[in-house]
Amino acid sequence: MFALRGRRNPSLHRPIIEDLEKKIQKIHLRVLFSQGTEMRLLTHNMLSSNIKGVTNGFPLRVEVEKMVEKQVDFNADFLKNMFTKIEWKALFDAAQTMGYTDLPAEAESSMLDSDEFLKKFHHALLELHLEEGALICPETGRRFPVNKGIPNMLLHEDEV
Amino acid sequence: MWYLCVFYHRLLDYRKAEVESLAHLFGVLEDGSALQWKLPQHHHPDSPFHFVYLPSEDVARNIANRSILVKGIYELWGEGSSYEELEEAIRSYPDERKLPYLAAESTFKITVDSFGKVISFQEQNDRIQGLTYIPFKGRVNLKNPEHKFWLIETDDYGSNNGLPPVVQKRIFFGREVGAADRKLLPTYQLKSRTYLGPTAMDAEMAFLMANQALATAGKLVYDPFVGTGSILVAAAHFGAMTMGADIDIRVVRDGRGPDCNVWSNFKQYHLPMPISLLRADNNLTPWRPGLKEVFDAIICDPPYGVRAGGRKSGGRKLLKGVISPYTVPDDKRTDHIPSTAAYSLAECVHDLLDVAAKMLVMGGRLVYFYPVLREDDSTETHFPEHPCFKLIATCEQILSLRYSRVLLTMVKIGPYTEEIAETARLKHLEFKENHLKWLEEGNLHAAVFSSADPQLGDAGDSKSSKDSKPKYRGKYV
Repeated sequence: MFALRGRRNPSLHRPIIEDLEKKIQKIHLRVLFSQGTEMRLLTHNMLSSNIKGVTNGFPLRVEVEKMVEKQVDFNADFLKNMFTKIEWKALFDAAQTMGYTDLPAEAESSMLDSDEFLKKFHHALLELHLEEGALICPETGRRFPVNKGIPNMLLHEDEV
Repeated sequence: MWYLCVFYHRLLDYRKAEVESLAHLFGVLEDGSALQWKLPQHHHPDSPFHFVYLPSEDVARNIANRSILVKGIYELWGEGSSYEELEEAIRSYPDERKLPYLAAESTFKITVDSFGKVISFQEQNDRIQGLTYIPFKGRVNLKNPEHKFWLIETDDYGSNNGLPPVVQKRIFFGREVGAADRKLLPTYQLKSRTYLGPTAMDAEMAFLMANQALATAGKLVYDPFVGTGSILVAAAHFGAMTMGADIDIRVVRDGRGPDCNVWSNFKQYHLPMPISLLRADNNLTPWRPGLKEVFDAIICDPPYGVRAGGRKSGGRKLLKGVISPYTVPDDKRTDHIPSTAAYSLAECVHDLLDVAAKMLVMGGRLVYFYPVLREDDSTETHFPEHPCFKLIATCEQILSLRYSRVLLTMVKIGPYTEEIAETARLKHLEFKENHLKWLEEGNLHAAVFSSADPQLGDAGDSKSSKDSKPKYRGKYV
């Protein structure tokens, strides 16, 4: 349609087309530069569904639409510190869903002496990023959307 | 050893608190004792000159270099009320403390500084020339000296700088051990920050907050009202891992586009990205039930309803009782945008303390701003209390004639027990049931912005009492 109009009076409509082209370029840029860190499994391990009446809101099921892997600085002390706070089963399952299968099914603190284990733990906890998808309440099936890497944990009025 | 600690003459309430926090960070005061301070004779507590006792020069250097408000920590070689007295003091300072810094192969620089008066360039030179009795053997290097010496004078400056006058002239001469890196401030200043909101935290204040919170490498810092991330940026600068939440999804998720959002604020300074940003309500946190003691510090500027009001989930009209409870139809659930209700300051602070009591590690710090109305001239301000916390610092910053904000630093000293959790749960319900009452009671906006007219009646008294007060503007600087 633009082409047709443009043929009649090309000079008049060129700005519109240029504008459109710019917009398309911007959309491309947005895809290229969608930087930032998306939701990591550390976050997933801390969250639960807090809908009123729900008693087993943890762990949330991960629904992956788009995920990325990003390199993050390794800090052994932080990992050792975090290990005691982590629910391993939930991390293991979530990592599987994200396609990472190198984690052992069970872990105990003695394994923290192994560099190899720490690297795997680091990768699962901090380097697997969910960009688009959802976290799903295991009890009610309510979807908490993850959009641009931000989990939206806000409840509806009737869930409070 | 006693060191001379000279502060910048600003944010007076924050200065000693900062040094104390940093002393803690660098391993002093582990037994819970307080730092020892001394004032020079006749000096007002708000004077920039203090003496502080620190165990070693390394600690003094670390504190000074990491601080924002320490102009310098000095090994004092001498002081006096005249140059004759100063000379005598320096001459009698032990040689073994002086000579290592005067050696032939070293470089040095002498700076003449003053407080409350101006010393002309010529006078400065004369004063340096007057120090020839100190056997300097090294070479002068003004740009990058190994040893920096300071000659600092303070005199009777009347009431020009807002401090009560010091009658006696005092001259200090010392060797600099460390000093604040104020170059950080132009680097991080808000006017060059890409993504800003209406209540983005001033860079200097954000650094002070991060220092109060002992942010450092390997620690995890959380801000439940993250906004544009201005506080977390400061914590990340000091190496902490950061995490933030906000109820406004447009701020955390979208910002102003792909290159202007919370992430880009971290990228701008080449800082590691936050570990996690999420949209969550401080009133109804999404943390899993068993999770506790994960954060080393919680730093935030809660919305206190003056420049920005807080929101919480639950429906605006629903909580007001204007409409009865409703269910969102199934076909509209996916894209439903929940309505949020106003969040009173009292409830917000209650929730903040509850979340912090649960989620902070033992010894972890909660650092946040609390607004105080200045109209009622009551000297006793009641700050929030919690059985798990000990309040260790209150630093006031006056914002207007009507109100100021106080930076509170609290340390977690007790575990979060079942009993405390239950009390908090009941209080939560109380807040929910008396939604309107709490909104009215805690309404600061009205008190801060109400026009002056209705108060004319009692203004007569308060005005006369204001005039009779000494003109002391210390906290305004």
